[in-house]
Amino acid sequence: MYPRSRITRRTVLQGMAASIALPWLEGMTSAVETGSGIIGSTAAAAGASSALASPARMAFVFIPNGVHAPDWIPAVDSLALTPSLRPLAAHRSEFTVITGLAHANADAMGDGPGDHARSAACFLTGAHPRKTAGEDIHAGVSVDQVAARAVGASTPFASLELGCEGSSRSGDCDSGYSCAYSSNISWDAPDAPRSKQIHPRHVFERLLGQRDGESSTDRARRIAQRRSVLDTVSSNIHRLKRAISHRDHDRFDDYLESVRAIERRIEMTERMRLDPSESGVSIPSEIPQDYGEYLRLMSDLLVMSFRLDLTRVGTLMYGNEGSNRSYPSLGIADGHHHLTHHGGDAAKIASVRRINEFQTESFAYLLGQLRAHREGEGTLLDSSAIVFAAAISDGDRHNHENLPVLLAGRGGGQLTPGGVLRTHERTPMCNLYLSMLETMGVQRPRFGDSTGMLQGL
Amino acid sequence: MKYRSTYDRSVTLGLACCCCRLIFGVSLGACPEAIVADSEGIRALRESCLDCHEGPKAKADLDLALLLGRALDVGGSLRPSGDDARTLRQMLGRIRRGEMPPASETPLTREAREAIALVIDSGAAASAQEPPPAVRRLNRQEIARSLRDVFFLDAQRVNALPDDEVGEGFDTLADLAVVNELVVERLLEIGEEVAERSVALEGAESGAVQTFGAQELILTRSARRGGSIVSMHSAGSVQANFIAGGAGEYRLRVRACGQQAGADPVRLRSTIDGKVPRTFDVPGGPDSPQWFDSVVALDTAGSHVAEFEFINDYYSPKDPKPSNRDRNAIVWQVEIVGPLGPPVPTEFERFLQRNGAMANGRIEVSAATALTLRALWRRDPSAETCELLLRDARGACGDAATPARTLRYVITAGIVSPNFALRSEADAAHPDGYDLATRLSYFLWSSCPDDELLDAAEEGTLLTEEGYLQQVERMMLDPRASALSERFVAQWLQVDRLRGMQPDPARFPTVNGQLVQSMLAQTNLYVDAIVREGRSVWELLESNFTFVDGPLARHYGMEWRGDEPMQRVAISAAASGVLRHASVLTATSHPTRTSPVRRGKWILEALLDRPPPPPPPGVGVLGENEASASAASVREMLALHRSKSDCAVCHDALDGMGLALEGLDAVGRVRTVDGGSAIDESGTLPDGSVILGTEGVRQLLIGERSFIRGLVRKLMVYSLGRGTNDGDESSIELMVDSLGEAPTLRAIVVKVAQVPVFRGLPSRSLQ
Repeated sequence: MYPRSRITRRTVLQGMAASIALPWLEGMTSAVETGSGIIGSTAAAAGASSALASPARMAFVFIPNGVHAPDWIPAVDSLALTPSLRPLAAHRSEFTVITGLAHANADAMGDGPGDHARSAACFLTGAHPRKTAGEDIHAGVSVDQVAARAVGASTPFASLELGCEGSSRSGDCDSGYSCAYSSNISWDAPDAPRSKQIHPRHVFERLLGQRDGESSTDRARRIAQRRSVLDTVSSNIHRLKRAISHRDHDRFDDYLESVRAIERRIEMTERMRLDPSESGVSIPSEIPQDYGEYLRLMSDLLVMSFRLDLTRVGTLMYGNEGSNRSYPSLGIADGHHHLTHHGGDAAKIASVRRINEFQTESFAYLLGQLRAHREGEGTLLDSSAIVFAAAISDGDRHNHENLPVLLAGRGGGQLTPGGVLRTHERTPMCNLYLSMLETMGVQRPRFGDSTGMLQGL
Repeated sequence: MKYRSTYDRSVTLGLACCCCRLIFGVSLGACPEAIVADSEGIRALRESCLDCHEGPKAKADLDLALLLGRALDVGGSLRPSGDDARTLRQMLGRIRRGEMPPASETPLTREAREAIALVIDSGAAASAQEPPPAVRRLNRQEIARSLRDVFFLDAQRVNALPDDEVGEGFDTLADLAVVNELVVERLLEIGEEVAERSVALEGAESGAVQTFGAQELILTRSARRGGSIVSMHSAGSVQANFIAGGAGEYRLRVRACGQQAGADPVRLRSTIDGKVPRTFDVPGGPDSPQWFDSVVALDTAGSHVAEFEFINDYYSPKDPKPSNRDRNAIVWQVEIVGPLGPPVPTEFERFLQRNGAMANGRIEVSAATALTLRALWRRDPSAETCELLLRDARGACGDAATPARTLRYVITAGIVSPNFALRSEADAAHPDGYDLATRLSYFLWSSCPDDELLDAAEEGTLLTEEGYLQQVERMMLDPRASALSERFVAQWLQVDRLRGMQPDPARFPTVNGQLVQSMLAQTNLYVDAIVREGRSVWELLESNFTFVDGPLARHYGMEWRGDEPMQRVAISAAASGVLRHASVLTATSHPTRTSPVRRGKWILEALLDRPPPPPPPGVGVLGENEASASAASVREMLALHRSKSDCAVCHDALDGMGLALEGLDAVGRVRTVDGGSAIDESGTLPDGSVILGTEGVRQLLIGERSFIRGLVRKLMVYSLGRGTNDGDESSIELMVDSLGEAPTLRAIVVKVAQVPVFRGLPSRSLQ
């Protein structure tokens, strides 16, 4: 075994346990979390600093395989919406297109090919992932998890990880990198990606803690028994740990932390008394065949979790990096990844452009839903900062500078969306993240390879 | 997909200067004085590499001087630690590929390069073999199969577990099986489901259920249908006409509520065939339906009528409170259950009965707990552990702590406990009998040890040479050993990825989800037969049988009429073997057409365990990708591509074998023509020789040592739950040598189960 160097969730959860705050829905809007000293000092969530103000939220929507850059990223002298972004016209006042951002740590830096895996792992961590096919994976803690640690104690779920494509099932995903790098963007600890959920029905049931047709008495009995089982299991883990070597405690510690987090959540959801009829969405029992509908459902779940204040931090992967999904509903029979290496072929470029447009349409749906829900004086989108971006700029080139990036929402009044923000070439993407953390009330000196806040948002 | 991603035009030649970017967090001080003179290889390393790779500003963070200081022993040989060994291995790879030193520096002489290889290789050979990771979380398949073997059911909630991550080609790697809130929460749900389905509560009954919704009920008088409910505004009733299967007791159930008004709650009266009236109150409001039950005896089988009548209508239009003016009854559903009998014991309850933990319908909780935990936790629980758990269970169930409820609690807690989902060993280098039983069962069965294996662990026979081998042989014959073909082979041959693929429906309209399942089943059953029947490993490539069902047979152009189920059929040697399986051929194609490059890469990577090196940076994109391209034009494009010397190095090997398989289309059917021109099935190998068709590829592979070696190595990765490294090299070589030229597939698996590091024995001396 190689020694693991970890910043674990333990530190975080200890901080959380000290301050189980009531969810915002109950009217306690100025919960002050102490966070963890190791992770960074945390002020009260800025967006939630005054009574009745909406809490601040953040989400990251990831698109795989980069884009056809000339149609997506605005040219230097233009403020007009590029063809790939036109489906967002109705929301033009609500987002900023940011050009010039880069992920230097997604570059090879001597590790050779593997840009897909590397860039997905770098996307929210800003870290250069260790090249390994399986053992000893290592990236960094992702920005959503940094925020989740700071504000997560206020909601039943510290964060929500959604995706629309299962993890790869066999073979090598990308030039000697473990598939874990390509299929996750959210990382708990440098050696542990957060498992994403891809089944809408499973997500829905988990968020609301409900089972179909269960009576309230049965539910109460089940919850009581759950509490007791978790208690039994905690003491079980303590005894087990004594029997094994210290070196091997990590997984048991993770286990214990997980049990604690579930216990905490049971407490919280019991007090919230959610009624599934409040969810406002109806979720089929199976994953829809139509990919567009699938993306809309997952977007609905993200919106629902924000609206009911079940979480304030979310990630949504439209696909795994390197995804070779075909788009029969768009009349595209070939695989997406395959198409992005078009080598100048006009027909392939047209297909990629169509896929990019489809992604933007899906994102427009998400923005529309967030705008449709009013909260206090504004909308859900007003309280949020939502990134829509890829970790590869041009899918044909695998470059990680001048990334396609769009930031939507007003971040609780801290952002002024609209227009195009041009940053200096190769400005770290992490500068944007550092600024976004601030909208969540999280002040940190740096994140990933950041060199400072992004000005002009 | 993978192949294309290896082209990376953004990386410039500057790449070559930053070798092995590893961060050494710990400085172990300056390099000690060399005690003996450097060997030739070490001298070459120092002379050629330290210019760039020394000191705090070392390129790529590789301070080679520091590393050598750590890794050299007093005799001047390399004895690197795990991280250093890995770095040295990567370095050597770059040196061998000519990436190091970079083009701008003086190249190494051939002698220097060989000397470096020698010193690094011999250092690696001496490095210790790592035991498997001490703690491993079961993956989704292992959880599902373990629960099936302990409780005799398929837990539905297993599907809600997050996907397993794949590394080194397999989903069994310890480092990738993370534990988090989501995983534990799903285990809790699984535990609840399994407990409920395994143990019936006291007083449970069984009987056929007939359900009548609003549409099926017969309405009388004021009763009206409204969507999924029936409402009665004044006197009225609903009737359910049902067929009794025989004389006996029947349970009449109604799910009802009411709009309440006046002093009394809504009142209903049930009758059966107009007799046996029973009256009951329905207190719930319009949104709170509840179930109401009564039991009646019927003397005859056949048709009967159950009726529920609203008997206390109330209407007071002048009541000052509008909501208190009108009383109405609402019926949602009626169920007739019967004839009632004692419940049929679940498979798990039968298991308890067989083992004396249940008799006359009553569970002996202590014995049942010990049995359950032994099976779930893969070792005998201590009396104290059982006591503690039972105490918690009784505490939690309180007054309701019947034996069945208590056992349900034990089952749930047993599944949520890390004793189930985490395989942990106190000392992985020296596993005890139970550890070995667990290692073996998850390797060969992807499931937990059975009673016999646990007994062998308990008695210590598993620790003897003879006892161990006996168990391995027994396990290989057990039906559960099909996990090897279902799990290992599906990942080894990379056919698992078919599940996420969608061949172009316009070009391949007959290929639907069902056919893809048949393709996978064919490969599965085929390999399983080769293992079970003790057939030679080469029969993977050539035999005289295969498995098909009706649709798959027609897919292959065999003349079959109906939808026959999957069965074994005799076929010619030419059409046999996995190289002809639609699963393999589809998984290595694009959705629209074949890819000779992917197929070639698949042969090298999956079958020969020699993945082609990534293309050098800046080579550009291969133009083989036109969706509409015919086989002939793809062949031309590939030829053009190989004419570039940068590409030829690898593509000579890749393309030759892939092109020889062009007689099989993108969904695995034989073809002779594509795009109007005849298929050319020839492929030229790097040495200039020409092979023809599947037969040519087959003859190239049969008898090839690296095929066996690759299989052995991958079985090791799969069973050890970690990647193999230099420390494993000698044991792999020893195994391959001892297997001979035509081992059976079963012998290969058995051999891997006997590797010293897997069994926890000291490795044999290096030869």
